[in-house]
This record gives sequence, structure tokens and C-alpha cells, in this order.
Amino acid sequence: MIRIYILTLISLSVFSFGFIDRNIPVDDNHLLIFLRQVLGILVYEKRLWSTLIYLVIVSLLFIFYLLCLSQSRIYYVISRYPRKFLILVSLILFISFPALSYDIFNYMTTAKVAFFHKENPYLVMPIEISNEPWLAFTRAANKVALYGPTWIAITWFPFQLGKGNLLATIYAFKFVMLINYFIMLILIYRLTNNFKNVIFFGLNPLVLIEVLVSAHNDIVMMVLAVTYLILIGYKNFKSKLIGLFFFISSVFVKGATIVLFPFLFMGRNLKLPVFQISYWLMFAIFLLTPVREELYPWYAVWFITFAALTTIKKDSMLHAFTIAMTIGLSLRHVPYLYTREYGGYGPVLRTMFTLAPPLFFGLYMQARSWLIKSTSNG
Amino acid sequence: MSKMIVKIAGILLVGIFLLFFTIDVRAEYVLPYPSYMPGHPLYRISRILDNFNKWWYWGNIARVKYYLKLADKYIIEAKTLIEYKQYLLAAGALARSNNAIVSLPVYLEKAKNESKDITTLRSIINDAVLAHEKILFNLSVATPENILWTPEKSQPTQIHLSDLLNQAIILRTKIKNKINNL
Repeated sequence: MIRIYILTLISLSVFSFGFIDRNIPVDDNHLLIFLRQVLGILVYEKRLWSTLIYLVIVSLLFIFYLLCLSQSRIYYVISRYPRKFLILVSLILFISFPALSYDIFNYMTTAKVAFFHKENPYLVMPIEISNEPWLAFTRAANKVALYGPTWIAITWFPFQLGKGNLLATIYAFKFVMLINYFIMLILIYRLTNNFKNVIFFGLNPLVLIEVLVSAHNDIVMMVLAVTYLILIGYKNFKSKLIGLFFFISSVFVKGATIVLFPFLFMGRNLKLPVFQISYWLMFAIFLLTPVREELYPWYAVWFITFAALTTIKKDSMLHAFTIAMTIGLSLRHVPYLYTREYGGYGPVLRTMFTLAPPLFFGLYMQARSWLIKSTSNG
Repeated sequence: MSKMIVKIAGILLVGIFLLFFTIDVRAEYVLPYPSYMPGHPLYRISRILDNFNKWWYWGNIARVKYYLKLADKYIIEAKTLIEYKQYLLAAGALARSNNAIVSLPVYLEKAKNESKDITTLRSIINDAVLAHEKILFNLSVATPENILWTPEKSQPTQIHLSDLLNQAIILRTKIKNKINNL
């Protein structure tokens, strides 16, 4: 099974190269030209096949994930070499091309506006530098910087590391997400002392796809937020002050973690189930996101993080619900893969795909409770 | 009666059809509404913020936007003050608008030297200058040439408002030429 899993990850990584935008110049790289030619036909022209491939990959990843979490033999095998296994998984996906989202190109172009063109990205839209070649594949070029100053500051490092080379910059940005992914895994292990919690986050297919393949910066925001919650729990003033710094930094990545501000005043002295409360706070803000735009799959990282930090018990509703949500959110890409457009029936289908797994889960739980009740009564 | 209706409908249809060919769909440059005016408690704060904003508007394109924003803001302030016959204050606002507009070609040239495409910015500035000239021309027609401004507690001041307005128009024409030659 582990071999199948690794093969699935490699397939995902290879499949992602079919999503290389046709406006991305890869003329100097023969391997990329070949991959784009061969897989591009599959992704852009044989849409039914590419949708099915995605569904098969996601299904296999979730099957393996669920088997792992149900304490099967696989879990014991992996837990014997946890570091090696997670490094292998992340490296396979690190190589992948950022498929399914154009956000990374937006991060890169915004960084270029700030650090190469030396313009304030909160005032100057990339499109205003109309001879900028990266505009050809940047989707939110008609918007000023969408993320906070912490994120803009962080992007200085990968942007400099890329040295103006497009491919190197893409992988430098992916490297930032990879580092943060590992930091998150370490934090989860330190806080829970349980490898199962690490797996709950680290092998969740949605996390793998959105963090390691598509390279969304939500992971950075969450690493800063978790560090804040750890530091605010210490009694000494210095730690609390540094915690406050981490909190502000986290809020200035994307803003969603602002809901965690009550902990600034509570600390952790009251023995509150901090991570459980944080889970619901982040879930609430996640549910509010359609007010601004829509429920993007990568927003799930906000609450998966805190689910991974709470004790995983047998029949844990919170964890089962989180998994159901992540299955639904991973399926959100399906209508776009098939239709290649965001409009039309897309929004309705995306909502249906997202809601189906949590609804099935709810129905299953209800049916199970009825069954238990009727058995005990009988 | 029915023939008349058909005729009217026909004329209307032709009219609508012709409208599509005659209306210039390009949006006119829109100057801002007047901001806080002298005498308002927040006026001084808004002036301080204007100065602070200079540091926020870093980058040459951003600086062009900054000075254009100031030039627009102060020309509207000058216009409003003239309409309320506050000539001395208006002269000050006009001078501030002139100072801001002088900086436009400086930063536009810097942006060009950084290999940034300035075509759109140039066009925006041209439209803005045209809008300024229109305001200044209307004001120069409607205002007296010389005004003796007599404040309550200080010496009277002679304001050559017409000269100031003409100078502002000439300055803008020069700026326009300078920008178009970049």
C-alpha cells in the first residue's frame, strides 16, 4: 500500500506539469516543454480524462490517509520511519508544478512589484507596469497587494533567491511553504507528542495539494498563529510580548487569525481548551469567507491545523467532520477541471461537491445514533 | 395616427443608432470632491497626512500618483475657495497644486528610466491637466483681475488673482509638453 501511495504522489507530481500555463515561457527547458506538450493535451483538451485522473489521485490519497489514521498496519510501518517518510512525501510534492491555483504567481508578481520595480504594492497594481513580462500568467494583476505586510516582507527571501529566473522563483516560493509545512509538523508533534496528530495534518490530501503543490501562504499564517498561542501561554512577560509579535505577524499575512485575539487577554491560565476553541473560531471565519469571495479549498488549512492539535480519540466527531470537510473541499476543483471555467454552472457544482461529503457524514452519524439507540432500547 | 407613431419610432431608432457612433465612450477625467477646507478642525490634520503620505507612496509610479492626487485635491480646494471669495487662501491652495504638478514629469521620467511603460500614466496626466486647465480657464473668466484682500487683524494684501490663474494655465501647458516629450 505504501508503494501505491508513493506512486500516487509521483503521479500527482507529474500530472501537475500538465497545468503549466501556456503563457509561461519554458522555452529553455526541454523537459518542461516535453511535459507541457504531452500532459497539456491531457489537461486542456482531454478534460474528462484529466478530471478522472484527479479524482482517482485524490481518492487514493484519502484512502491511504484514512487507513493510516485508523491505526492500521500502514500506520505502524510509517511510524517506524516518520521523518524519512514525511520528507519523502514532501519532496515528491515539492517537485510538482503549482497546479489548480494561480495564487503563487500573484505572490511572485507582487514581490516583483515591491522588490524589483520598487513600487509600493498596496498602491501600484502589477498591470500598471504594463511591460512586465510576468503579467502574461498573473491572474490578479488588476489588484493591489491582497496580503498583509508580513507576507510581503517574507516574499523578499524567495524573490531574491529566484534571482529573476521564473522557474527558480517558483521553487523558491514553494520552498518557503515546504519549510513552514515542516515547522507546523514539528509544532504539532511538540504540542501533542503524538505522531497520529502529525499524520492528521501532514498527510491530509488537501494539505498536501494546497500547501505543497499549489503553495498557498495560509500555512505561513497558521505557523505564526500557533506560535503565538504557545508563547501567550507562558507566564513571563517577554514570551507574551514575543507572542503578541507573532500574533500581529500572523494577522498581517491574511487577516483571518484576527479571531484568535481573545487569547491575548486570557492566556492559557484558565485551562481553556485553547486549540478546540481556536478550531471553531477559525471554522467560523472560514464559513464567512463567501461574503468576500468564496470557500477556497486552501482556507481549510486554518481549521485543520487546530484539529491536528486536539487529542484524536476514537470516534472523534471533530476530526471526522474535518476529514469530511477536506474531502468536500478537495472536490471543489473538479468542476473547474472539467469545464475550465469559473462561471456557468461552476459555482453551483462547486457548492454541491463541497457539501456532499459533510452532509453524508451528518446523515451517517444520525443513522448510527438511531441504530445505537434502538439497539440499547431493544 | 399609427403612421405618426411609426415615424416617431423610426426617428428614435435612427437616433439611438447614431448615438452609438457619436458618443465618445472614453471616461472623462474625474476630479475629486472638495476635501476638508480651511477652518475645518480636521483641515490641519489632512495637511499633515498629505505630507506623511509622501513616505507611503514610495516608488516612482506611486509618486506620480501621489503628486497627481495632491495637484487635483488642491486645485479643487482653490476653486471652492475662490467661489466662496476666500482669495488669499485660494492663492495658497493654487500654489500647492502648482508645486505638486511640477513634480509629475520628474517622477514620470524616473519611472521611464527604470524601463517602466509610462504610456497609460502619460495619458492620465494629460487628461488631468486638461481638466485643470478647464477649471482654471473658467475661474479666470469669472474672477476679478486684482483683489485687495483686507483681513480683520493684519495688513491688506494685493492679490493678482488673474495673473496667478494665467500662470497656472501656462505652467500646466508646459508640464503637458514636457510629459509628452518624455
